[in-house]
Amino acid sequence: MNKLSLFLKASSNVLGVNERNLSFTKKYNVGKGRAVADDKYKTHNVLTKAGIPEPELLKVIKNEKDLEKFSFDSIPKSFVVKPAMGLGGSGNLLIFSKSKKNGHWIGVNGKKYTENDLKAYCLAILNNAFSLKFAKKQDIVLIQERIHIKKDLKRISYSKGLPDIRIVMYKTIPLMAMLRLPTKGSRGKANLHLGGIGVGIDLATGITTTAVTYDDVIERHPDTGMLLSGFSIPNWKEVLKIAIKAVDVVGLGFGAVDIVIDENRGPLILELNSRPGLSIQIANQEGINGRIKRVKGLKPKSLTHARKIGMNLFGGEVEDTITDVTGMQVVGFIAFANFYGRYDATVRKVKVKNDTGALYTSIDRDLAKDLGYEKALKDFDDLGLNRHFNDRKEAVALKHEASKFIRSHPEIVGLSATKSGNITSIRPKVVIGIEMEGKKVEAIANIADRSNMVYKAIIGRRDMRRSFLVDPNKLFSRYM
Amino acid sequence: MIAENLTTISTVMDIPVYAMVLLALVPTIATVVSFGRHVFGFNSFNIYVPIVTALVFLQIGLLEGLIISTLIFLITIYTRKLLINYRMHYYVRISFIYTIVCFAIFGFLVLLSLISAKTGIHLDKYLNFQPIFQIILLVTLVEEYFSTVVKEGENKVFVMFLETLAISVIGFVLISSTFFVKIIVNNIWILLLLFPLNIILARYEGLRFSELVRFKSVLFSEMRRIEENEDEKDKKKKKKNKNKKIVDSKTNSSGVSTGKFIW
Repeated sequence: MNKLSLFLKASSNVLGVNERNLSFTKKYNVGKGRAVADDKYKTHNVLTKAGIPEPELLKVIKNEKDLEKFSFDSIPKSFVVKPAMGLGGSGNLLIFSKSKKNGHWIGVNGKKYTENDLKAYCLAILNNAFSLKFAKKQDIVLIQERIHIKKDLKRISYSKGLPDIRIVMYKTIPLMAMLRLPTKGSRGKANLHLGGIGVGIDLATGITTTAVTYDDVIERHPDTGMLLSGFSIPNWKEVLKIAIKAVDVVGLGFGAVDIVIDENRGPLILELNSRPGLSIQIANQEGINGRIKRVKGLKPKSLTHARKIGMNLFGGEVEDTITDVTGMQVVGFIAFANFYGRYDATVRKVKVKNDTGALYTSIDRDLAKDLGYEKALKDFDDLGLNRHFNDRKEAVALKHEASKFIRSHPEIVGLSATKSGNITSIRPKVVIGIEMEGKKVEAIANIADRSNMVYKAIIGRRDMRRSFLVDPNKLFSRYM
Repeated sequence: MIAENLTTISTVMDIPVYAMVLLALVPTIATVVSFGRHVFGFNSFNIYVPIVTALVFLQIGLLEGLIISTLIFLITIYTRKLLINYRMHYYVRISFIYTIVCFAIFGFLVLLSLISAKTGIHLDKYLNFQPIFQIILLVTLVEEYFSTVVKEGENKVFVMFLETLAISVIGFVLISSTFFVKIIVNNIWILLLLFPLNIILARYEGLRFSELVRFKSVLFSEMRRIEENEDEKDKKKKKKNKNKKIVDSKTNSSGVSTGKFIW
């Protein structure tokens, strides 16, 4: 493949401003979905109707008359003032307490506001100072409760300001996610173009990957010094669920959902966006177009199905990183494995348990027969050892005796006396090949009667040690 | 500046050359701006500002135009900064800025004449600020600058201003070169070429030049990913062939299996 066509292919996978404005916002966002997403008050109404959790709305100011009647003393001391049609978070004002001395409200940077200042700010919003340039209507002031951010998230974020999670959606399928962290430079705002940090998120696990600020890749938070990759987002599944619900209710064809995680109430929808910023591609080191190509023809049967599609298709980056660093393959507790016999070219696909509590790999007699060890089993049975022993010592003694006969056998490499419960049994050991998630190992497995068991094979520590890591969170994929 | 001895339709039709050139300037600069925006990623203040600026450059000269535009822009930005803490209506704020800009220009002109009177150097030989109407035209851009700085923030606006000046200078150079003017006046139909160019631009969905730089790392990782996928496909193909061979050899052999591990 030559360099130019490679470059062209790569650039067609990346979404640019031209294409976003021309195709994505107009072609995919037909109908009222976009109008709802662009107006936070409309979004609020739609979401409340559907019962989707969002920050509590304390007050709505629709015109100058409302503003005159309203007093900031009538609401809690910490709140957020927002224009309903604001662009890119530029009009949001965060107030987090009120000083007892002179009754001034205190903003994010320690800036003080009097009641008059706050009203002037609201007036500016009503005069469309922060709204889209061609806004036809008068803007509305929304005053929301301030969110008490989840403690886990607080740890890696700049203390003043609100970290949030942005998920780019194609219809109801989540495509790409990013954790946005405010910095000192961004004045407590999480928007990337104002100086916030974006950290890519692996959709399957909710673990952070690459971090960027102003389009440059960074490793640590400039204010807190915390490492930004490898952080696990709390309530990740819940976050995806409400994002999908919100997009479904609003009817957005392509766009982004911003979500915050409250300490008490869990994930809440902050806002929807029909023209998401494109830096999320840098934070994930992948193009949005490339991902859309992969889901374009799919028709999710349900919202859960849509979530699973996103998680299955666009996860695994974290595992890849672990694989790159350790050389080990991450597997689930339960997985599909391919078994190869030593003298047989046929392959058997079996659902196995990766049992870190067992030392040796163990396979069922039927599976062993399939793998070409029928003769070996018959030879073993001829020794008359295929029975249960109540006394372990007896079994061990017999095993030692029988080992002398077995040593010359071409297929059986040894015997083992294995205790399970109160009963000890002697089992023959053979060499087999195991392939899981594309990684192959040569293993020594003992053959036991597992016909009553759910899993026809378990893989033990000894054979996993050099090649596999078990992640209990990981689900096996049916389409492997 | 403009070539006058042209045997053209303009003389036949009794339309001044000047009018034709100025009319040609407007769509040309508009196209330059949209091309610069969608292909290169230049951000200018709409199309209006570069058109007006280029027109004024043509009338009062490049150096004078640059000085006055920069003066107006800087005063707008810094007056806004001064007024930011005072509470007032949006339009009042703009009219404040207009007033201060006009006073500043007046002061600037006074200063120039003072300098020439004191030192005896006749600055007006080099700088011509006589055509006040054109200068007023530049002053009206204050509103555009102001609304943009409110929306985009200061840092971005400085870059935008430089890019606007660059586009205006391009327009100025085009329109003041005899070569270009000759072509336009002799073949006015050439402006029709702007239509196909704009039609192509209308549906242009590729990445902008500035985005290639911005998404450099994404592009590289995408290229790596595509290459890896290709490699994997190749490997799978090879593996399939290998598997086939083993099965073949087994079926051919008589009784005793000789196949080895597949890996």
